[in-house]
Amino acid sequence: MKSPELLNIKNLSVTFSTSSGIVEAVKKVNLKINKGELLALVGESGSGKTVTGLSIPQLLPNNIISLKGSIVFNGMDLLKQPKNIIREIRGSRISMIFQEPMTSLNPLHTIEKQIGEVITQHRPLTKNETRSRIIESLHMAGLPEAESRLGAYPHNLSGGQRQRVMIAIALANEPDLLIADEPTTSLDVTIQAQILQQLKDIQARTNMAILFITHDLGIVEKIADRVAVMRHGEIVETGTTNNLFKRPWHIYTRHLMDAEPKGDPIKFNPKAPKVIEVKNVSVNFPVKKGLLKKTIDYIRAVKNVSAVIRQGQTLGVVGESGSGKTTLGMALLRLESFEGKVIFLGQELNKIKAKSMRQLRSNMQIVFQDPYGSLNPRMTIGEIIEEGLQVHNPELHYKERREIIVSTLKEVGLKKEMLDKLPHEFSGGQRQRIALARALVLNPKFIVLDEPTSSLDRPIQAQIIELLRDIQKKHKISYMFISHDLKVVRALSHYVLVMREGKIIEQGPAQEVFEEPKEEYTKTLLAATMNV
Amino acid sequence: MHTIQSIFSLSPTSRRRLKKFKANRRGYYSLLIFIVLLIFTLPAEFISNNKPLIVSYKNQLYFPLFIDYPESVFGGFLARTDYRDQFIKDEINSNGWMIWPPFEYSYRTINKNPGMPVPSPPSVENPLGTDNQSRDVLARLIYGFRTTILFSFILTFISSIIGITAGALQGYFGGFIDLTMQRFIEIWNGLPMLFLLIILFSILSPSFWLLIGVLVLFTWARLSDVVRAEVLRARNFDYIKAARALGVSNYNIIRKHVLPNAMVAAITFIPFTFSSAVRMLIVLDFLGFGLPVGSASLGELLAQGRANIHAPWLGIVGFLSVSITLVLVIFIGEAIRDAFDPKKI
Repeated sequence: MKSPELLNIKNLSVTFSTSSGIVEAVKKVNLKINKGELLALVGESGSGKTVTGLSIPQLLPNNIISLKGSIVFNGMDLLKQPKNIIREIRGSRISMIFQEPMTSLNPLHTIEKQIGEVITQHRPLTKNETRSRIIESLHMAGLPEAESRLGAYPHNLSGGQRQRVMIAIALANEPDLLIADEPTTSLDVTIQAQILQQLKDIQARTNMAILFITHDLGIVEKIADRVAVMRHGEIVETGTTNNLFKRPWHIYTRHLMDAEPKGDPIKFNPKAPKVIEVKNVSVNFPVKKGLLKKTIDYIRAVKNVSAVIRQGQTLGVVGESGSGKTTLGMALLRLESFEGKVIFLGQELNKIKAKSMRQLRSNMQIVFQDPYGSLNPRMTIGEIIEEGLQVHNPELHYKERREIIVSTLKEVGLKKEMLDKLPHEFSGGQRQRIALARALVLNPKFIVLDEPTSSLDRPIQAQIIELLRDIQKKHKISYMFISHDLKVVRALSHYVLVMREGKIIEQGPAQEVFEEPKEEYTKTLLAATMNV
Repeated sequence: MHTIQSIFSLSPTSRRRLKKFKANRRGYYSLLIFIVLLIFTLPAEFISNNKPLIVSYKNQLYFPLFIDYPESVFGGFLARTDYRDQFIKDEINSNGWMIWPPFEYSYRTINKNPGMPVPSPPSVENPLGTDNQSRDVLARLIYGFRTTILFSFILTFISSIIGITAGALQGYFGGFIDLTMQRFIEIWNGLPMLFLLIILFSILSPSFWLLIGVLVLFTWARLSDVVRAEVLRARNFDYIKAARALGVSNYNIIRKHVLPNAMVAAITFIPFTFSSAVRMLIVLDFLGFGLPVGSASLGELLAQGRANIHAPWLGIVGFLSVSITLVLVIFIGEAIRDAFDPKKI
């Protein structure tokens, strides 16, 4: 232990060649990590933080053109080492955890085999030694009943458990540096909190350094020792967590911190007419088996849900993944078959014919979570927004339709010139605006917003929420806002349903639910999001 | 106005694909050679025929290519004029003129004076020799190539339309429709095609269109599998759900959203359907179960080569023409497939 410095990145620049030209993803980045330190690398998507992380163990994709600078790890410049030395270091001295626990494990191998592979790759151990090492690292990663789970395949485990297995793989060789690339982003909030705690514990016990890549400042504030803020491939600010959060000096850091969704939902008239009334709605998915696909059982995705949404009101639906909140939204639009009553503008949806249902659809719209999957990649923005008008207002001329489309685009904050462009030319936030314009162009009374902000960066989220509020104020639209992110829900909803395993476990005016939650589950959920 | 513009200006994706296709030199040059071959063989009647293109006889113009004139017009006695007959040639040339195609043989023209026992070897008169009925091999090759390509084009086109429609229906509606059609296709694909064709054509007399009709029955299923899988995948995209939420009809959803995105897989598959169509026709002709007797075809040329080992020009020409055709088609197909592959940069 000559010096506490473990990793020193100097003037790192990475350039890629992509179909849209040459992109300099990382520009002259300088970064230091000491032994046993947790450095958080923060930035919006596309800021180059993942590329910086990947360039340390040299796992960059093939289309890089140049990689300049130096990465000194334990006194040795990794960029100058031959490939076999780098391979030696990967997985033993430097490990990685990736964002997506579903795809970073091989579905065909058992947990034991996947962890064992990393160990035997770097150390000549006997079978029994390897096995005890595997169990030890699984314990360290906090996977309960590790011994009995050795033979399990990834599909036997939940998302959180898989991420624990990934951590166990990363820890198996007691590395000096762990690079964690958004390790908790795709997990539910309560699990997220557990995993973060685990990482922190391990770090304290083993004196391992962690480079924690994330876009979530809430997490950073809780766990990091030092923070580096990245933007457009450059590091704009570094400092200890305390200093940075108390006195951020760079304008961009301040911008990131201010970007927390805030504000209150706009006022609505509690006596406004009911737009949609839900009575005892259940959705069952049949489980089929055998040659003739006989239905042997049902998965009850939504159980006996009742609710009312009035004009201009937002109903927030909160819950973890698999709680049935999206299925409920689809049922309200009759995009999923259901039992029970949904009365929309006085008409019972289950009783009207497909043709009149199609006409009614102009009054009920949906915006999806994934801004990439919800726009047809082959249609221009104009065509995408026009589609609903063609169905419901076929009498309009091309010119009239164009006028409506342009004014809708303006309303969601987009420009007329974007009409003839294709979806891939837009950022995530812009795409979400386009999806909103597609819904708005028909002047709907009710929009289901299915996690419309979850895949966006915080500053963009805040903008979209602002926009949703403006639109609600102007058109008196009712929203059903589905999200697992309580902060976002709070900024928009008047009334909140908390769902778990298909059932409503708590409901009430938003203020009440957020300030005095009655159920234990709601409390954990709140604790996990608001305090992380 | 807008639509016209969008047809003529290629989208960035198409432009990238075109660039990738051109970058694949093997495929690109194969396509150029293939186009040249098509230019020379598609107007086969104007390139190689036993009738002149235009005849001027006693100050009157005749178009033997389009109208059959009785020989009495030119002073003969047959019901149809044989323009290759020396007497008629002399008669016309002394009373006017005539323009011949570059090569004076049609696929059915018999060289009455080969000067050697048939099949006769290559000579100035017959550059690739004659076959066992004294017909010119080059003429038969030109016509045979054209028949093969046209046949395969039509077969591929029809079976693609059926296959894509069937695949789209299966994938989009899923459930019972998908299940029944899948089982049907599996059983259908289990049928031994060649034997069925042999039995069928011993009852019916084969013709160009009958052959296409029967082969379509056996080629559509493969493409429908590919399209079905793509559509199954595309069906769950959010933009399909969004279209349903907009109230767009099923027909329009398939037409506007599902098919264009499933077409990439289909298009990469089509060149290989084409090459297998070429192969099938050659095999059937070779076995004698293909086009009607007397038609020019590459398979028949190969069969002649096999029957007349002592006349190697038949076998060699047959072998080279079949292998060059297949190689060109497969190289083009590979280049198209790679150009549409989004993973290759």
